Amino acid sequence: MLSWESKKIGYTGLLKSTLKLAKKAISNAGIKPDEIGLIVHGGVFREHFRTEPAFATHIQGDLGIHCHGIGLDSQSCFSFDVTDGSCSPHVAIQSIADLLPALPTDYALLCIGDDRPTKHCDWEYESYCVVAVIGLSGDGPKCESISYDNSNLVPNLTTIGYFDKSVKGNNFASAGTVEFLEPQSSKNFFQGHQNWLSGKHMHEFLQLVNKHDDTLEHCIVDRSGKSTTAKWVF
Amino acid sequence: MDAKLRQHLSPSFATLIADELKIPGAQTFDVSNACAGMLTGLLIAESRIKSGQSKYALIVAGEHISPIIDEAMRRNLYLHPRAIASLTVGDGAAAYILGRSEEAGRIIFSEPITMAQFNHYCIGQACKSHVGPQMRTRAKDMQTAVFDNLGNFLKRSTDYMAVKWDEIDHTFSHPTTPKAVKKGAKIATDMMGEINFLHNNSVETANTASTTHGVQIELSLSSGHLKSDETALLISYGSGIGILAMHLKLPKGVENWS
Repeated sequence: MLSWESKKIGYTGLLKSTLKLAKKAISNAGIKPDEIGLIVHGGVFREHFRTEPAFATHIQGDLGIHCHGIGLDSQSCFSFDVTDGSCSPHVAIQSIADLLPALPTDYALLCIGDDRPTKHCDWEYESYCVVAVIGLSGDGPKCESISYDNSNLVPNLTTIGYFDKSVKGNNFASAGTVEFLEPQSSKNFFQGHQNWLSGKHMHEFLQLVNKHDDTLEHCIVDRSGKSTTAKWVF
Repeated sequence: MDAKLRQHLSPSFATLIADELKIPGAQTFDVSNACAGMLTGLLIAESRIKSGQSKYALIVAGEHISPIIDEAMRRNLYLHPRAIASLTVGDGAAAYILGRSEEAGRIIFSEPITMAQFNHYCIGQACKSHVGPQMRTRAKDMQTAVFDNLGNFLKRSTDYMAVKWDEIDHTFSHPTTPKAVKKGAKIATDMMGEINFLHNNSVETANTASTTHGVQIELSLSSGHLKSDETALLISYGSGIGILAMHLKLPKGVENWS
């Protein structure tokens, strides 16, 4: 991870914040926007429960990265979204790690965050926007491995979007009751609150990065009970 | 979208599928890239298998998109012409299992490209006033954008994959409409040469979005057109506009699959 930026955002405005942070992160990484060849966004909630196109294509388009026709030898960028509840950041990092070596580019943009979908949604979450430039080489924290654990999954703890006829608008609902695990932190381990959204998980993790010079395991436990753990080496 | 037209958000749908199939040890997540989502998922799975992180991968896509027609029918189409796109829609599902092969190159991907300057040409989201989804598409503009870039994409992709065009036995495009596939085939032929076998089966199934190649392959299999070790090129494009292709040698015994 060559550079990163994160900030708390309001109910909406994820795209605007992502663009602002992306420009800063790209500049801090010492590269030009056109050197980015892969953009992956991770999150769950999108404005008006948008399903397509991928949010990452809006980031690419508004940053103007390789927004030109396909030439026989022109550079290009590929954008898509991944999602897995609060574990989305780790899925996005893993997807970048999988694809970047095979693509004709050295740099990827990782974007994490959620928007309050509509004004009808009760929004108890703190929304954070996180952007990072990830390179195949260079200085910065290195994600050595990501492990996955579905053994504590409770499959009926789902979240769905639906049309609420009583207010004539779209809302979301989370099924079941969860006894939330409290955040845990020790010298080389950090686990945020189970009810945080993806952006907050990554934001809080990034606050710890500069305090470490060896390793840090970052565990995210989703509301559904499944978890992912990324091992970072500094 | 489920039967009640609710949108599943969390955890990933893949997590629930793995739970139903009793595959507790698998890593599970969803990929979202519109109609190119399935091939994007295959691309990620292939790279993970190639790097030795996974032995096998199950890539699943399901689409319940026909309710966008209901939404369009409620509209005054004079005022909302983009509610009915010049694409057909159908519901579908598809699943692939990828695993390691001793033979290199059984699956090869093109360089994936997103032409994000066209990212506003097709927007799918929850309908603001009724139950279910809605889609607004500048279909003609979207098709023009793809057609304008298809020739170069194919030339560049076959070079990238080191595949000879005349040795591709079967070609499956993204079946926006049968007519659009024919137009695309004309461009491909002008740029690359004759297509050995263009599969354009979507009259009955319509465009089943991300599941489309699986559905089309199944139809071609049922018709007896596909044989072991023949080669196929799957070309996928979706809103965004993301475009990528996969070249594969069909699995041994494929003609005996039901």
